[in-house]
Amino acid sequence: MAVAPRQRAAVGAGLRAFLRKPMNVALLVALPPAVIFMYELAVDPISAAPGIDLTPGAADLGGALFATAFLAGLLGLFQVVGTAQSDRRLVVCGYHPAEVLLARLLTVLIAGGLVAGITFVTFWVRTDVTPARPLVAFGALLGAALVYALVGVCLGALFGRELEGSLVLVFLADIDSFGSIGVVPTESAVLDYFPLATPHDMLHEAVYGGTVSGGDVATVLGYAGALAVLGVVLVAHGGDLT
Amino acid sequence: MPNLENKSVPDNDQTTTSEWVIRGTDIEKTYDSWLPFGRTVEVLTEATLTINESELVGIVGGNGSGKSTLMKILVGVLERDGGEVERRGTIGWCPQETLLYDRLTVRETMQLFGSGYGLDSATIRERQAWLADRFEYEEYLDTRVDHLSGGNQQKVNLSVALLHQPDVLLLDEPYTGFDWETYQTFWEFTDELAAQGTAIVVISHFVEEHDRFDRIYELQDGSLERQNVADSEEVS
Repeated sequence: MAVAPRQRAAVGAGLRAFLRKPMNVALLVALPPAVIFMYELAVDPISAAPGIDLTPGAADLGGALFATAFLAGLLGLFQVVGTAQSDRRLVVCGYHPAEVLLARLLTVLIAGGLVAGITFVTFWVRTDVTPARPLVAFGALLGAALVYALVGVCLGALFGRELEGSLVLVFLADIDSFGSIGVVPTESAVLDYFPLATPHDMLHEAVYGGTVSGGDVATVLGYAGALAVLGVVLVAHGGDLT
Repeated sequence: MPNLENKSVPDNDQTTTSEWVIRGTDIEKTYDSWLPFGRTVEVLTEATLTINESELVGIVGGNGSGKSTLMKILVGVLERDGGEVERRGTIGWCPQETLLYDRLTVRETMQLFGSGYGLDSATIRERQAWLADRFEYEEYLDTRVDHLSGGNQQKVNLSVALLHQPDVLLLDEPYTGFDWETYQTFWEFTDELAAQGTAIVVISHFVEEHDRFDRIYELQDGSLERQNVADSEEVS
């Protein structure tokens, strides 16, 4: 049998497995508006604190980025942990390991697009912010989803368990989204290397400046490429830390 | 505890002239941990066996004796530390745990694994209908795996291994959860397959009907000892 129908079957199975989990659907629908609302509540008092200099709309941007990152990360994590054992059987049944891995990555990317779409619509509808270039703003969230979906894949391969992986993921996404909007009062450049730093810059530019930097796009794609390589290595060699 | 006493016979006592389909020689496996104070468990030391076509072979052993480890190594999903494994022909593997995608329906499951075997959709549908009829789960074809009873999940688990009519079947506790009727169907089916040339290995913590098997091995202290089937029958 040709590769394409097998990939379709494997990707379709991965997407069905994700979307038929009621908790995942509930999170997709409820998390983005809830997070954006909570960020507005939390960030406004913080912005009044001395030493903190936030741009207007920072709470909305931070909320959208966190919701995208967390949901996409969960997706990558669940995809790797939830199917690991059954994927081995799929390999015994004739799939090449690379085919299975590709199917998992494609599933994560497609579902990551869905996550970015939902958060983008929520961001546009639920906030007062109107992006100057909506398509680029969506692209920025798509970049954040792509990067964090792959972070989830890496965490899933490292921990091999959903609970431990989710805890690390929520901690990382929290620090990262707050750091990207400038809530963390530090002069250190380390936050510039966090996964959401560049997607935030892209989103900010798209919303307020109506511009997009080729360098930012390349940085996001490079970041995702590096994470994809790391994810493949971790999945292939295992790395169960628990 | 296996219901066999230690009545080993030499493995070169095989009189069959048929072709081997799986050969394992001096298989070794130790579970180790890289963490400090982790336990090291030596599971297989020098397990050796040969499975020929048309044979029905049983492997018994107590809990934790390494039966599933041996089967995973024979199938190729687990790396061995030492020894050799050679395989010929296609393999059907029914693992002890139902390794299926919980949220897929039975029909989707068959389509997915069937595509792995290289079967076209029409052949998958035909084989799936035949297996569902044989093991009596036709009404559950559009039911999600996680909504099936344990026994029906096991039927699907077994059916996935049988879908492509493999040359050798490796079955790890295959009849767990089966009712009596399905249990009988299972044995009728394995007899038919063996008569058609399929080699079948059944792993179980105990074997009740020894006369069904051509050979029975007991896994003890990491190695396999062949049991005399006639003697085993007297024991049971």
